Amino acid sequence: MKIRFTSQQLKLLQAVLDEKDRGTNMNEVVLAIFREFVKQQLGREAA
Amino acid sequence: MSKIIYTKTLDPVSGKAIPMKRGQTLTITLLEGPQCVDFNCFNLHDYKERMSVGHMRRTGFRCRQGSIVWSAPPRYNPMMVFTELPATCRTDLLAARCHATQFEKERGYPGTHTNCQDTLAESIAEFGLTPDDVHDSLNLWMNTGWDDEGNFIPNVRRNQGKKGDQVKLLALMDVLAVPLICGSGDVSNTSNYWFRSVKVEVTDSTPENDAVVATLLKKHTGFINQRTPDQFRVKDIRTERDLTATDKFEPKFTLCPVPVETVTVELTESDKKNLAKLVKRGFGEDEEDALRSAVMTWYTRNRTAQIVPETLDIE
Repeated sequence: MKIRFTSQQLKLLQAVLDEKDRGTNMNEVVLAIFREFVKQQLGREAA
Repeated sequence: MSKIIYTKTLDPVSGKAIPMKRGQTLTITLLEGPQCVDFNCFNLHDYKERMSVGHMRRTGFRCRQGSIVWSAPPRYNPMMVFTELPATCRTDLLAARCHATQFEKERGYPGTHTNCQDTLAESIAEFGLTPDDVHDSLNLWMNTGWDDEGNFIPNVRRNQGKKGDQVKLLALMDVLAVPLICGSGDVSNTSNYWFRSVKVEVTDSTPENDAVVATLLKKHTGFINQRTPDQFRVKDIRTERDLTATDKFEPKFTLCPVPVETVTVELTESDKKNLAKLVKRGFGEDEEDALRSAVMTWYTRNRTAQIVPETLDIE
């Protein structure tokens, strides 16, 4: 799936990617963040 | 004990523009009982920099001890700080300021009723400023209420101020501070249908206050986006009243067009189901919108400090 981000958004996300154990590329960190958000937002309703 | 360098009783309905140096404290005292006091504030060395209650209310509709009086962006400098604010002084950051036309148009009052716009204008005229330089006021002892729809509680609530109440504002820069007796006091709860005198007093800086100033300036200044006039594209203050476009003007917006990049992710079946649930819950117009919103919401929740009221956390 393709997701568009602004360059400003990607600059912020790059800082997350630079954190320890956050993977090696933006695709990984976007997916990881999405999954963390799903846990917070959907809780037990998450698939 | 700090030295008193200025004192004045403000009788109804008057005000006073008071020059203050950084480190000095303005004390406003209710001499007789509940009285709404409107307040304006300018940079003493650049009148174009002035208080913005619109930005002050970003941390809530009320001030408290430690609340900063901010100037408007792009300066956005801390001008003063509340070092004392009694619970009986409810503050208002919503009501702007009363004005003569409001009483004439909305209430049908004859002539010109006393009002804060005119009192502020008359006070700052001493420094060569015009009525257009009056800005939305920080209202002390004004017990505004509001409901969930954003409506003001009709006619404000009763003023809770008590005789002897004191508000103290410490100057964090050189300012022109302008306190005054609110002109709506005799026709509303703003001052409980009466006018009362207040005392204004300026005390000189003390080593303790200088330390507070230094701490707060360290905390609230030094950001690259707190701009000064030499950084403005247009530096000169316009003197002509007519507005005409500058020939061949090309705006230089911060980011326009906005560069956009695409990130490709491989979603599992579980991810797809969860994304569909987010869309169904109205979290996005479509899957891309929902996934981007999810990622950026996570970022703002987990990597960005939330807005909270300022506190006078001086160690």
